[in-house]
Amino acid sequence: MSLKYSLKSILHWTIKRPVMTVATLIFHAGFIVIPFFLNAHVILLKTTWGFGWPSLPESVTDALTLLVIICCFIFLIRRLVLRNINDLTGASNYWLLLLAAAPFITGFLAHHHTDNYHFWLVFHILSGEILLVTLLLSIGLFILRYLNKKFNYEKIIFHRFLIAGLMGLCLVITGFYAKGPEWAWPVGSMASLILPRSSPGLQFILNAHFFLVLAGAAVLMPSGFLRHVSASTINIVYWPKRQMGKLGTIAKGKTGFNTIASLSWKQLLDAEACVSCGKCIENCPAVIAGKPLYPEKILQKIFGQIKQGNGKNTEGLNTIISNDEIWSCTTCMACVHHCPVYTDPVDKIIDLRRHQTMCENALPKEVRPMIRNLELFGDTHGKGPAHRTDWIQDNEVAVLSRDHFQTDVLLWVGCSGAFNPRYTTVYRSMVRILIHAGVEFAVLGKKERCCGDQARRLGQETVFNSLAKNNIHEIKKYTFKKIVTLCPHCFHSLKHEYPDLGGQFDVMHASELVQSLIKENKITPRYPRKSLLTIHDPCYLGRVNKIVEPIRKISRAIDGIEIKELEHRRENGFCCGAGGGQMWLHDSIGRHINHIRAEQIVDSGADMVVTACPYCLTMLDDGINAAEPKKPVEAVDIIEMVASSIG
Amino acid sequence: MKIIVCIKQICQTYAQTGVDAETHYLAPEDQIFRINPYDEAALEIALTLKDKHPDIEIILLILGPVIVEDELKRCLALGADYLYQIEQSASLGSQDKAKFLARALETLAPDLVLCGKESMDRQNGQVACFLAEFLNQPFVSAIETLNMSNDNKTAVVQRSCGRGARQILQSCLPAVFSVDMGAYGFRMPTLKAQARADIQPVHHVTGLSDASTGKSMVTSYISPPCPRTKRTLAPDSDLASFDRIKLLLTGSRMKKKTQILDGSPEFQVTGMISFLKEHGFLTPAQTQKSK
Ligand code: SF4
Ligand code: SF4
Repeated sequence: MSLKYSLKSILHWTIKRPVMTVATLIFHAGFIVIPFFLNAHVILLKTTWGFGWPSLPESVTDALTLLVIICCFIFLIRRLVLRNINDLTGASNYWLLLLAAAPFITGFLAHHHTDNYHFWLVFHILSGEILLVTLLLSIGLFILRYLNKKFNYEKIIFHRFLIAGLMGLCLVITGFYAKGPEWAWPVGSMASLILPRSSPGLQFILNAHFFLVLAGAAVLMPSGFLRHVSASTINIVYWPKRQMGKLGTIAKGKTGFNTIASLSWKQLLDAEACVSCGKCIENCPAVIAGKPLYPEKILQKIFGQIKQGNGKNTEGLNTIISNDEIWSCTTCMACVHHCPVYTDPVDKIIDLRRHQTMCENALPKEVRPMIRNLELFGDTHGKGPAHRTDWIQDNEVAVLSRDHFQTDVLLWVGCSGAFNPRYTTVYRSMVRILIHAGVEFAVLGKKERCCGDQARRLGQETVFNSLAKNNIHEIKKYTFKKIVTLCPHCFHSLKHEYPDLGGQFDVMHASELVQSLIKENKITPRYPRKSLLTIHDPCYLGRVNKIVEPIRKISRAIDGIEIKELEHRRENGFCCGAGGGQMWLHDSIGRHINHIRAEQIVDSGADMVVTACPYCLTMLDDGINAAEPKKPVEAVDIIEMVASSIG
Repeated sequence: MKIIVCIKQICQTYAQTGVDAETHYLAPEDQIFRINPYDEAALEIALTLKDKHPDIEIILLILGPVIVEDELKRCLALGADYLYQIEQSASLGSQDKAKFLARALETLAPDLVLCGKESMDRQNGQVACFLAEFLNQPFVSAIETLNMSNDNKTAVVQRSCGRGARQILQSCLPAVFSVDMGAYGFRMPTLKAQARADIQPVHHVTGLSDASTGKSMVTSYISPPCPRTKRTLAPDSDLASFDRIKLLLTGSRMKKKTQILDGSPEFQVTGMISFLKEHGFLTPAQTQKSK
């Protein structure tokens, strides 16, 4: 776990949700510190086993215990009061809370010698024991699952392991009632020091209570909260190692997956960690547009198969996950961004797509011409590499070659920049800015190929690989300081996905570069532009790569611009509907995602929307036209805006 | 059942961005090597048949060296069974190509031969009909769909005759059909099939060394007469205004000498040959040679 990331994340959440974050932190700290460093525990340990460690002063642990109890109440109240959380809360959540809080409450009461010291003490010991045992069981169960992927989760664990474990536990507990210290384990022996004088009535209550809780825990164990106690924790710990939206390469001869047997342990962990909180569904543009996709259901369906899996289960996932589902995803990463336990439904969707494309030959018909163009011509438009430099027109753009192999900035054009008529103008604007700022730059020209992002997100790994390898080979021929591109999809591929194939480059998005140019006073926006502007953050720029400030800083640098933010903005932006190959797929079910976004933009009352992605620009243009606003709304690229204001 | 699909590897020139007059202003990026798309359409017809009758065997036949190996392997991965190559390095005319192919086909003895309607580079569109002639088999050009009868003895094909018109024909087998782009499908190979295809060998058709390569066809290039046959600087002012404008537009008052040939195909062909002879396009010697 990277320390920097953890601290950043904690700080971020402390500012956004102070009460919840502080409460969670205190709770977890107390949960670990108190049991180990409580004076009484350490003394007991010394008397029974003859060793111990320094303990904390009473007053500190006391205050901490009180805080932990208060935190538990905050959790309870949150679950009861907040509507959307309440909806998602099941009995298991309350059980967990009770299970976790009981040792602290009873211990606190016992320590302060309220009316019945013995009663609370015994209660405290028992509840602590239950918590410990259930935690151990849940982790043991979890480890077993990962030692053997084909473990028959429900049958074997539930019936044999669990029951046996619980029986053994009962024996221990009843054993120390009957025979005293020599029977029991440390916790039990501690209890037996005090227990002999308890009354029969108290013992009955203890037994009854104990078995009630135990029965409840047994029922909830495999399906309920304890699964996530271990799975989610590991998932959260593991998360910082992943780059959002970065797809893994496939092993040779592998083609995504269709049965759970070929899922990686990380993917299994994801499916296991999902707590069905529904946050992904609330934020998924496909769900909002009424498409048949639910990211949470993808995970739950996979988990359903895991639970049934017994090695022989090779039933394809395509029988329970329909093609409409997997081809509706725009890979916008909203689900990943909002998931509290950091699961990733998208890499599962992509792996399902990979299987459909490369194994079942079920790539939707409408995108096949595009893929064929990539195979034959190396671009999504089928124009061919010879036309890759046509966009330059009469601008002075240096093209890298054997004689001219050195430059500061390698301007990556991409298919949209080279062939999409709307976006070629944006690239020409970029050239003007670079010339104006005196930046030395060059393009790869006819040697460039599509970055392969679209093919990869449609599951065509072979095409992606050959395109990417070709590009890496070409790029490596030249010396430059950094690659700059306007397309967030190219940016993402070059920056995060090419390293896997051996292409480690310093990649920068154009908005970052332009922002730094403005900061260094290399360009000054001279001409004011009077408009109320709103910002559409491209998913692969804002959410995935966290580049949100440059657009705003640039906009503020231009006089007369007033920014009106949308509700879905920055990392929480709403997809334009074109990512993940959706640009080329037919969108026949539900509404069009870009229409929804365009309506949000029109409703904001702005007269201009700024974005920084060729796909977003096209989709927003279309969407705004379809929305037929009373006041015209213009969709522009941030680069165009800067170019027009520097004159 | 055995289907042979004749494949031509072409060099598609889709742009002229070079600066060198020597190479006709072509840059290396202006061309891609690929399989003639019409041949891909022919393969698609064969594969559609194979989808219905899995026992069909599809053989790809190429003439000359392997140029685009990837694409040929891709064709194999799509579902073709074997790749045969006729080794031959000289550049040949349509008729000679057809001769080579016909000899190879005689040894392979297919039930059906499919070719592209024409190749995208030369656009002669002759190989298929020469082939049918040499094999002495029925020929239908520019088909778009093909249905086999149950006993595999006859085929019903639909051909496009331009301007949206369709013609449905029945033909006995074996036969030679040329295929139009209407049949083109975007089939994609699976990874497994691709891996299998990658290790498939190229079979050679041998024993054709005695095939004659002597030039038996002469091509003469005739440029069609320009509509403006006579340059008229100023229209004759004696004429009526209508005729004067017409004169300006057409350039002269020359009458078009068009002759429309009716009748059966045989009659039309004889008419054409006599027309060519009459106008000196065909010398008696040439007529002799091509026979
Ligand atoms: S990536 Fe976006 S569209 Fe796909 S499932 Fe997640 S939220 Fe939905
Ligand atoms: S995937 Fe994450 S956000 Fe979605 S339901 Fe599961 S835990 Fe919640």
